Amino acid sequence: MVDLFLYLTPELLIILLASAAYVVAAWLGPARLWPWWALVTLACAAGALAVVSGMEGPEDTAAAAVRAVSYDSFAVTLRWLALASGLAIVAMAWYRAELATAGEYYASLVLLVAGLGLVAAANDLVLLFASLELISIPTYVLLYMERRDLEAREAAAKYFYLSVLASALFLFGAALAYGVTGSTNFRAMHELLLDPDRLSTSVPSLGPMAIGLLLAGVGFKMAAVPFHFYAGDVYQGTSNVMAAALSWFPKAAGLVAAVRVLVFALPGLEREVAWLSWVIAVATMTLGNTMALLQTNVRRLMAFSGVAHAGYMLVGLGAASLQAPPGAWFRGVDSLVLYLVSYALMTIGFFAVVELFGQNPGGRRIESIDDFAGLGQQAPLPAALATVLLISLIGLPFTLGFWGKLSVFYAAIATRDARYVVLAVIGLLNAAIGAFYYLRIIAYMYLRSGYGRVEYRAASPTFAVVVITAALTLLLGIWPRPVAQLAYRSATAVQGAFARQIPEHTRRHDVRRQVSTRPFRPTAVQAAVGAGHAAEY
Amino acid sequence: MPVEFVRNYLIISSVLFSIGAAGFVARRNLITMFLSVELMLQGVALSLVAFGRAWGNYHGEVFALFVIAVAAAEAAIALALVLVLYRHRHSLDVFWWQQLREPGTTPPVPEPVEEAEVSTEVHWPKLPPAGIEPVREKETIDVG
Repeated sequence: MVDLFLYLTPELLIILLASAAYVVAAWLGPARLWPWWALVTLACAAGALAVVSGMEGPEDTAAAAVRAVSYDSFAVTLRWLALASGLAIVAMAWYRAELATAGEYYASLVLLVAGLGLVAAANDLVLLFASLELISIPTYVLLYMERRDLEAREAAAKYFYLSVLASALFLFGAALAYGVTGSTNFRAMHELLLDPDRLSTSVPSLGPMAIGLLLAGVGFKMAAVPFHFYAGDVYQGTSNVMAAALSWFPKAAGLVAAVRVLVFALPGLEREVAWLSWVIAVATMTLGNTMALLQTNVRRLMAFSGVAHAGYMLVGLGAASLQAPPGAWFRGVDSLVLYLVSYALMTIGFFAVVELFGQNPGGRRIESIDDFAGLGQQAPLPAALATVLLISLIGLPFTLGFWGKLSVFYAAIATRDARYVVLAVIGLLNAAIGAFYYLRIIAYMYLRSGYGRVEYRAASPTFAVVVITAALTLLLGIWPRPVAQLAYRSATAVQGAFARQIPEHTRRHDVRRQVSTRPFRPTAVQAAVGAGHAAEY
Repeated sequence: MPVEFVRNYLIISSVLFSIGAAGFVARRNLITMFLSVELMLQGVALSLVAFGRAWGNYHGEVFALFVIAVAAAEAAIALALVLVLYRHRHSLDVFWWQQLREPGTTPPVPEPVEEAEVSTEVHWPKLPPAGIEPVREKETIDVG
């Protein structure tokens, strides 16, 4: 038990420091200290993660093998990614210290990082649910605190109500998954479903329902059709910083949860996962790209672009649920990790560009895409970096976005499933549609003349975020080997963890004990009722 | 585990869940909408406990406790949010909140709701105000 808490030190540290900040902030109020506090918190968490990232879980007994957390490198990779993206978001929000609720604001921001880290490490439905809520609840608070106008209130309300509805759907799916398998632990679920004599009679009836409801729950987090309605309104009604956080943390958490639960924990239900994600992927990509074509508000446009990207991720998710042939360059799960890295860089980077021009009160804010006009002449360096990020969002070669899209579509084709080959073609067509609205922004920047004064602080943390994300997008686009290897290693690790047998000599004893310490014995009344039912049916 | 063990529980829990979902979609009052979601969560909690009993382990009960705890946290946020929304519009109707929308579309006009008869007479509670010393009649000492 001790090593479990040790392994989660980074997230626990963040939660502890954030809770302290919530208390202290009540007295301290706005202070320059808060962004520094967030930075220190994330640095402490990074230090702790560096120490624990090499930890291996005990595997000697089955009881030790079915832990609430997974020690694979998939989890560690995503926890690093969460920390790095959290650092970027805090840097973007550096000038919010004068907010009346600055302490609560930064504490909520770092809690998002802890939430994503826990989602990545979770190996149990209960922990997964709690950590998904650890992302959702600070998001409600942040949406509410970020802007003080009516639009922001409306956005917070819309996000809150739909998010609690989606949590309920996810929970019912989780309850049914537990009902089908008899355990909430992913490895135990996997093991129990594979065991033919344990295969319960309820799998055919309840299993597909569980898959559908779980996919609905994570679909909301990813902003997939038909749960994308909130995206445009909420992004438009909040600030650039929160839009960046919303387009990254819940989306990544939803995808990671889907990988763990739908791809690995429930074997025997791959057919349903593959079909459902096929249908949702087609609808999501097409609708996201089509709606984005019509937008003029830049955050609204990016919301629908995020919907389209969720569709590309679902292509990878479906591919991951099907067996990839050995020797494929990219399998489903590696393509997802690669895609997540590229998506984090380009979406946070692009929102940082938009935020950069809004920080100086005298200068021109970017609200609609018309405001990009002439930036190529007025602010050559940010415009060039924005162009790199937009090219990556399109998915053109020599950027990381290209490798993300390539790996996802390659994984779809590599399944040799006719549906998924068609899906890859639909995805490519969609990427072509998507190119239009990104290229339109580039065209506005370079081909139109600007109006108004453009000001930006070159020495600001936000500008550093822009530079670093654009540089990484370009460098890793030219030399993607490190990211591809990282993705391959983490995907292999998570597959290996589930493929590894729970130690045989203790397995029968312990895993069985997990599900039947208290055999079901109906009371006299229940037995009578059951007999009545049996006679009736 | 045969489904028969949990059938009745599952029927009740899915009925609760469906009533909640229908309420969320159909109602316009912000608080009622949130309560509908709570009903859905309670339906889930019931099915979790039933499954836990049927399987003979505690995973379901633990999960149900987590569901209740998270629902409480969400209720705290919900009430704060509803209060703020109410202060802006002096109404709990969700139709007041549709400014953010696709450009070029017009918001649907809500059907008028029959306002409940509310008496405008204010009946203040009959309690002595705290912190103020009650004014007493002239003090008399009964020596009788």
